Amino acid sequence: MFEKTQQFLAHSKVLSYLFSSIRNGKDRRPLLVGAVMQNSEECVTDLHLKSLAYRR
Amino acid sequence: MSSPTAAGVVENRLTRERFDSEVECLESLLMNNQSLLESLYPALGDSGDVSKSIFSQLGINQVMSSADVGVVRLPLKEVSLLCQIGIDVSPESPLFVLVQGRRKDDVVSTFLVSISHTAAAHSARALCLEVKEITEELFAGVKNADVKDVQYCS
Repeated sequence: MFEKTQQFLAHSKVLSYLFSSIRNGKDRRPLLVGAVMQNSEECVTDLHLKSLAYRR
Repeated sequence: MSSPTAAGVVENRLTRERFDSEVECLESLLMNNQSLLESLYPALGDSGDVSKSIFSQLGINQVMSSADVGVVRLPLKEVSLLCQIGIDVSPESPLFVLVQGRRKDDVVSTFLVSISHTAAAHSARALCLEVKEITEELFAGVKNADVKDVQYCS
């Protein structure tokens, strides 16, 4: 499953990570995490981002 | 999780698998979601048996759930400059990421990725991603290709 994605990731290297909080007017402060990934075979650089929310 | 049956009546339209019950189908959808997240973030999980993944072992899903996933693809074969500008995302103030590098044809290009977060009252929160190529000089009088590093101080 998701073979292309996994293949892409296998040929990528992580250059850096991104971290941030998300402010939405409530007390809870979900997180935003990300990675900057370079794939030299396909000559592209990806920013993968994902937000996480604390379960209630 | 049970394997799909040919005579099943509930279909997972993502994978075209058919299941005997809605519960089995929902489990299948959840596993699809988990597999997608773990394939995007292999450091947080492994691509094998979901029940043995680091996610599950550490109980991460009991504390946090994933909300949004976004990917920005830039046409850069190598990156020479990378700077996260900001530490907090809100609807009013996006987070910026400055990325500079070389394209396939060795031309230096600079991109500004903007990450914002909507907070509409009646809709789910969502990440909004925008990309803008910066053609003007980042620092007056200095060619972007000559900029070695950019640091952000909050």
